Order: sequence, then structure tokens, then C-alpha cells
Amino acid sequence: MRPAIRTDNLTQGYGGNPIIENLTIEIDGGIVGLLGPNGAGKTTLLRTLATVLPPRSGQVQLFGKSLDGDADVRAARRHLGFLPQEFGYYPNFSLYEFVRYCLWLRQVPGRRAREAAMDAIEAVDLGDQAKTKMKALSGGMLRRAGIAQAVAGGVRLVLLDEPTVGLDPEQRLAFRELMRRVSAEATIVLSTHLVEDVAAICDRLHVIASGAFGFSGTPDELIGAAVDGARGDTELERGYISVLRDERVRA
Amino acid sequence: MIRVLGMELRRSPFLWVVLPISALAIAVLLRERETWHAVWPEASVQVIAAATQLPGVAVAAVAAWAAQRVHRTGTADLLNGAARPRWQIEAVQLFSSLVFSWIVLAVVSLIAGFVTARMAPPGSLWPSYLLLGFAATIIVTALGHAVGSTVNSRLAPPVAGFLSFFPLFVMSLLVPYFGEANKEVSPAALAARVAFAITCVFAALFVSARTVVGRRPAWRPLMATGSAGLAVLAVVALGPPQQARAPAEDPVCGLVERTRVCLWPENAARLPGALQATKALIDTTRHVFPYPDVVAEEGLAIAGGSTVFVGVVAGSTGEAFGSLQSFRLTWALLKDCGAEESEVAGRRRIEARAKLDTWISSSHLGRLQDAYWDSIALTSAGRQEVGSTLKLARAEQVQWARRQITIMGACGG
Repeated sequence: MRPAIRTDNLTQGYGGNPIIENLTIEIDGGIVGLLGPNGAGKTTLLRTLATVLPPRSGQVQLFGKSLDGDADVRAARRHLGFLPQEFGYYPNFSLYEFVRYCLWLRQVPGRRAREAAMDAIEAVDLGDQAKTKMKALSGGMLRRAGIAQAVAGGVRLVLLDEPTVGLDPEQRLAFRELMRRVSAEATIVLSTHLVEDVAAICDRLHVIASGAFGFSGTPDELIGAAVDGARGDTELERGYISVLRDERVRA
Repeated sequence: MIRVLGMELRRSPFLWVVLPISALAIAVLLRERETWHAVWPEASVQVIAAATQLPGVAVAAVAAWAAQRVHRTGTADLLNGAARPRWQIEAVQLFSSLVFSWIVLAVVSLIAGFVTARMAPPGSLWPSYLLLGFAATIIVTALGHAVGSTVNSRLAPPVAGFLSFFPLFVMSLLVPYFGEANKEVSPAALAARVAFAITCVFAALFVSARTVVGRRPAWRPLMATGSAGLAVLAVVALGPPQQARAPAEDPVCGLVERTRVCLWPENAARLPGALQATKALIDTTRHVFPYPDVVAEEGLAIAGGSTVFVGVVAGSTGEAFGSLQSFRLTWALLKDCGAEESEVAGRRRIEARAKLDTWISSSHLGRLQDAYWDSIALTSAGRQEVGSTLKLARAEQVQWARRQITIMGACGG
């Protein structure tokens, strides 16, 4: 079985500043959380995996294929859903139209697209807002609309950058349920600041700091990494803070 | 694809402006409809001028605004990470903008067709002119789209409008101002404009396109803008959009005394006015000089006797036809004295022609014509002389006019 994501010595950055250096990872199946402080490179990594940013050096493989040429990248994108941190949308489109448009961008055939769009909208509990214009949706609804377009159409890899920002507790619970359902068919990689989301739904965690993975393991293993005296309200937070402190010392 | 096009059409900013732009085009079209409503080629040119010139500037600006959506809404990641090639995404949006610009052209064509069908001989708007207008709408819309998709600034729409203003208004490169019956669309010029339209579309689609690995390929925008540049050169090199037509085999003619007056068949509705103007001129110039056997519109090949060719300016009435006839007739009476003639003598003869011309027009009007219509060769003393002559008895006026003709024919050293 080929992993959904594999990077070899991936280096990425903006201008003269490298943000990720020589990152080699393999992600396959389940729900994978990316944790890390601001500026650690989570968004850059997700944008690179979403093929929006070309790697500066190194290689990215999706679904076991290198992304060397146009055809490979396009083929991978058909099975890839991405929710960027700054989710852009067309304000005059209705929610249904926008999700449908995103499916068109992903080259989902028209026959399947209608059903897939409605299914995704229902899945984020916005069925009654399908005809509402995007500009009339609240912040939380927009985030759910973004999640809907990312999971629509039977994708095999879902990349979500801060998906739960703006969601109320009830919606976050619904989001976790949705992720569990989607993960039966697809690999999900999500970045978040909310440690409780990670604890609740992620099968594996990667703590990213200074462009490298400082920790990779299960939530329980991260809890186990906590050192005495580490700050944090939960065990997972203490584990996370401990890993970060350790990384800083090493850096 | 069709469904997404439907979405783009329903959500296009053009929905808000297509009515005002159409209203503007209709207002421009109908402003002086009596000048074209009886002649199909003139109506055809007015259609494309009305639908593309002022509205074209607005269309380019709105197309730029529509194409800036990617910058305004922050959807660059969505589009740059799409499986679908970027040019296809741009193509659907550009096509929706084009549909609206064609709606303006279609509405104006329908109205002009309806108005002209009631006044003109059987016929229709000329497809070659409509094709020219079609190409012009594509050019300005694609230009606007290209500017909007590449420039992330609020200035992009006015810049696009300004860029369209030049080829359409200032240089009149894309569409002509008038559709005289003796002219037609030049096939080479039309082909150059169609090629320009196609390259503009390519530029609009590829100027913002990226490869899937995210780098903007230099050769695509370079090739697109380069080919558009070559097409502009072709448009300029191949000259104006119109050329002279081959003489009509079936001109419309009428007889005034023994003078035949012939016009292009498209100008049939103008024949009564032309006959009336010719009759007035014959009456005015009776005993002054012999009137030609044939007065023919420029571009016709009419056999038989002495002939004067008169251009029928698009939009002209019978009065203008008479004025142009007088102009041509008096120039025909001016002898060619060659380069040896002194400047003073030449100027004297040319002023005599100007006086004769003003006298003919003024006699026809029954008063001294407005100075605006005088030849620039007419001095204020000459104008006063014509005014005094008009107060004399007819026989004396004829004597005076003959004297002018004598002066016009006497070469001085």
C-alpha cells in the first residue's frame, strides 16, 4: 500500500527565508494533526502538500506518485480537497453554486457533482442554506462551507488548515463526527491550535517547530512526552509544550 | 461546463450594468437616426459604432473588474490548486463577459434593423460590418479581462477602459465612423481584426495562467502578448477597415431636365432628395455654365456624356448632396494652369471659385449662407461681394457668375 503523502528532503520557504528544511515524512490513512506555534511552517507545509506552492527542493509524492509533471499534479488534485487558512470565496455565488464550482475545479463530472455538492453541504449541516449567497453566511457557516468544498466529491486526501476556527462547541462536535466519517475513505491532515480537537479526533500527531517535525506519534504518546513542571491545562497541552521547549533547547 | 457558465452569467457584475450600457448604446444609435435609417450599410456602421465605442470603454472596464475577482476574493489558492487548467477557468469567466457584450450588440442590431427595415429598400444589416463589431467587442472585453486578471489594483478598470478608448475612438482602428454605400469592409482588414480578437482572447486566457507546479511560465504570457502585438501591427499595416466597392450594376437613376442623377442602389431612398437638389442647382446655374449630362455618386461607372462624380457623405441629406455637387462643379471649372502660374494669380482664380461656390449655395438658400460653410479661400471682401451680388437682378447675377468663370479659366504668369 502506497502512502497518501510522502516527502523526501522537502525544503520550502518564501524569498530568502527557508521555513521547512529537508523534511521527510510519510502519512497514510486516518486523521493526522499538525500542531505547532505560529510561523512554524504548518500552513506552508499544507499549501505545499496541496500543490499550491511548488517545492523549493526535494520531492513530494501523493498517492505514491511523484509530482514531476503537469499531468501527475492534475491527477493528484482530482483526489485532493484543501481548505486554506484564508478561505477565499465568491460572495455572490450561493453556497450550492460555490461548492459545485469547486467540484468543477476538481473536474468532478457534472452528473456526480450535483449530488456530491448537496451531500457535502448536508454533511456540514448547511442544507437549509444551500441557496443562500456566500456573502450572507456567518463566519462559522463560511468555515463549514469551506470544509464542505474540501470534503466534497469523494476525495482521497483532505488538507484542512485551521478548520475549527470560528466554530461554536456544538459545530466542533459535528465537525469531529464528520471527520471520523470522511476518514473512513480518505486521509485527513489538519492543522489546528485547539489541542482538544486534536485529542478528540486525531489518530496521529506531528508537532512542527522550526520547519521540522519535533514529535510524531499518537496523542497518548504526546501525553507521555510531558515533563514535570510543564505548563498547560490538559495532559496533551503539557506534552505539547514540553516537546516545543525541547525543540527550542535543541535549536 | 455549461452549468458553470450559467453560474458565471447569473453572478456576473455585468448583470448590473448591461441595461445601462445597452441604454447608452441605444441612445447613441438613435441620436441622429434620420441620417442613417434609410441606408443599410450606414445603419450597419452606426450599429457597431454605437455598440462598441462608448459602451466598449464601459465593457472593458467592467470585464477588468469581473476578472479582478480572484484578487478581491482571495481565491488564488483555490484556482492555483485546481485540477482544471487555469485557462479553462479564465475562459468560462471571459465567455460570460463576452455574452453580455454581445447582448449589447444584438439589442442595438435589432433596433437598427427594425428602424431601417421601415425606411430603406429591402435588405438587411451587412454581416461584414456586424462581424467587425463582433471582433471589436471581443477585443475590448478580452483586453479588459487580461488587465483585470493580472493587475491587482483599483485602477485596473479605468486603465482597461482607457486602453480601449484609443483603438476605438482616437485611432478608429477597429470600427469605421461611416458606412458610405460606395464602401465595403475590406476582407484583409476584417481578417486582421478577427486575428487580433483571437490573440486578445489568448492573451486574456494565458497571461495569468500558471503551470500546475506554480511557476508562471514565461513563454505563455510572452507568446500571448507577442501574438497580440503582431496582430496589432497587421491591423495597422492593412489599413482602414473599409475599401472601395466594385461599381454597382444596378444604380438607381432619375432624370432632371436632361441630366441623369444616379446613386448606389443602397441610397435609393435618397434619390428624391438628390433630384431635388440637382434641380435647384440647374435652376441656379442656368445660363452660367452648361450642366453635365450625368451626376453620379462616386464609385459608379455610368456611361454617357459629361459626368460629375459626387460623394454622398454618409448621413447626408439632399442639401448636402447639392452642396457637394456645387463644390465639384466649380472645381471642374477651374482650369489647371500648371506650376508656372504665379501664386497671386492662382490665389485670385481660387478665390473666384470660392465666390462662385458660395453664390450657388446662397442662391439656392435664398440668402447668404453662413460663413462656416464658406471655402477658406474666400476672403471677407469676397464674401461681401457675393452678398452684394445676391441683391442684384438675376441677369446681373448671371453676368457676375460668368465673370468668375472667366477668371477661373484665365491662367496668369
